[in-house]
Amino acid sequence: MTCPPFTELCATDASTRLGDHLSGCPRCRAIVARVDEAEPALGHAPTPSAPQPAPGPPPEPGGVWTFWAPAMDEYVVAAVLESGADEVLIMPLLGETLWASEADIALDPGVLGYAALAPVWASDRVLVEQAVETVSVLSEQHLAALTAGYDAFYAGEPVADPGGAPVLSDEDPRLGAHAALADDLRPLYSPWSLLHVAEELGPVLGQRRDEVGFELEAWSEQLDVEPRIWGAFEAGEADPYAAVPVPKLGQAVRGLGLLRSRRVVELARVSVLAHHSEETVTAAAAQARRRRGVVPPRRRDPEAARAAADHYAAALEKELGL
Amino acid sequence: MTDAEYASARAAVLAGGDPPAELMADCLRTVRLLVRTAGLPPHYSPVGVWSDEAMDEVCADWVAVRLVDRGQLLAMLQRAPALRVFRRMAETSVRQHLVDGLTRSQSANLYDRVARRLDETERFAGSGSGSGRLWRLADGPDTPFDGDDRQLLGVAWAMGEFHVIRYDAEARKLSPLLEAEELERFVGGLLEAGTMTTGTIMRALRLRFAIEDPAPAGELDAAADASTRPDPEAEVVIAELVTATLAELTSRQAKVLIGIDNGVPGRELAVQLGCSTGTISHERGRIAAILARLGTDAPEVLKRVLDALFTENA
Repeated sequence: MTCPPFTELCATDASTRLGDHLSGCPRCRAIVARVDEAEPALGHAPTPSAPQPAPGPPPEPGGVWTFWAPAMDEYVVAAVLESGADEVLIMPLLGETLWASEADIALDPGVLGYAALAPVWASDRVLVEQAVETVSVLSEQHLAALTAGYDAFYAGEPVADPGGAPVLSDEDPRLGAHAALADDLRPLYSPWSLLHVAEELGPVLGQRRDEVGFELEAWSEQLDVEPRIWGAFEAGEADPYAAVPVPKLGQAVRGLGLLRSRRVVELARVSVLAHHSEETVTAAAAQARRRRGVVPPRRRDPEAARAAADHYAAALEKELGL
Repeated sequence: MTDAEYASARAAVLAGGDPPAELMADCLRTVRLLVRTAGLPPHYSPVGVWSDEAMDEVCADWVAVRLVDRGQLLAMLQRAPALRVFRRMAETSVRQHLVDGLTRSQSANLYDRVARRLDETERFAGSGSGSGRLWRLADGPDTPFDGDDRQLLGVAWAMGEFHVIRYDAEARKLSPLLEAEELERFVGGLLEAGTMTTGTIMRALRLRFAIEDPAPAGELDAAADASTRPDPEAEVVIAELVTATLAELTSRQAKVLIGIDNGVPGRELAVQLGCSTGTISHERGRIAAILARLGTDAPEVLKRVLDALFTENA
């Protein structure tokens, strides 16, 4: 939880305007109760919303970008190490260098305009929709150093030319500082991780529904979809193309707090591809089989499945405003 | 400054332009408001009290050293999409600037204290003379420490947390960086890695606590003498320190403090707050550092901070 500036807590209307924050923050409640509310009224406390992505090319390796997440009101500055159609591998670049260790790389002020620290161990993937704007570009030399550091760290090898002294004991306070940083960065990485618990959209939505504690019956009723059908979709056993209208799926994605992203669309496409089936036998052939008492198995037509998946994905992309 | 003006100023600086005057004015406004609303304790002032002159001096120094020279203005703008986030970062930045200055100003007599402790404590033994005199633990290794700065710093970090203290506002300029026992623990821990000169020990202190070379003592003393700190009612001083301490705590630190006072075990507290036990340990260290800077006022301030948190939490 990030707090408003101290001076906002001194505003005459702080208690009412910052009510949502104050209800969960004992520190700010205590401050509001002590200060004399002498500052001008806030008028309104703007609710953070998803930023508009910057015009121009998407993130590429070597770019230094700002990244956002729904639960964070600050951007994170990070170097892009790898980029794909729907995700980016990033290494955060911190302005705080105090806690540097042997798993960090120091960047001198000539690189970003201020001394920064790249915590190699804190690198991870984010959704491409989380990239906001480019703020700098690394030289090939610096990108190579960060990439080599990443490769070395995850191969269990020492980082060449680390930015800090080695951690030699469990008493080292830098271990706690790194744990706190990891906790602080978790909201940045969670939009990606929430969408990677399964390879189809139904099971991803099912797990998320469990996490937020919505009952299947009530949730299905809210979406106006039969519980049996939604349950089968969550179990990865139903074709969303046939069973779940696109607007309902958009409603589910928003209602479960998942980021509207290309990854969601791709998961939906995979779900349709995996489960779409169509009766392709001719009526005559079907009649002949019925006479023989044979029930034909449902046949899958890969071309039809691909067309259905593309159609469904395009409709969902539109529904999510991508 | 409005949100729209901030967005425009931010875009201009990120595009390589100079920071607009309105943005710098907003930074100075933040410092003044912090002082006026008791968001910064008086002992963070370079002269021990928040006079207009002290405020102007701090503003000028913070802008020149931290925001401009070190490029922190750019770093803050990159990370702050909205004015309120920028203002919160500015508050943290100026507070950190003052805390760093406090630490630096307290290093003036450190060398003497280290030398005296080495001389007077039986567990340390010296051989040789002059600046090359090597110190070792009486029952420790007698091979010289031959690591570089990075290894020296690693040894210093490995000893865990140390609390930087201040005895009281009047003694601020000459007060020690570490309490005697803590200083001895630090020196003893270093010498477990091998024999060292006093210079190497001082080097480790400087690296570990980010201390710059001390300014001339005369200048420091003059600054202390120039203090115009009045002798206000103790009650008012403590009340302001409570507000300033609450302002310095983060939301998570406040919750950790409440948990500690309620006797909640670290692991359970971590579950409650949705973080790791390492984070709890880190926040305990940060809280201890904030309280340590209050010196002898710490117990009373802590009690009242907890009262304030519990009252508002009830």
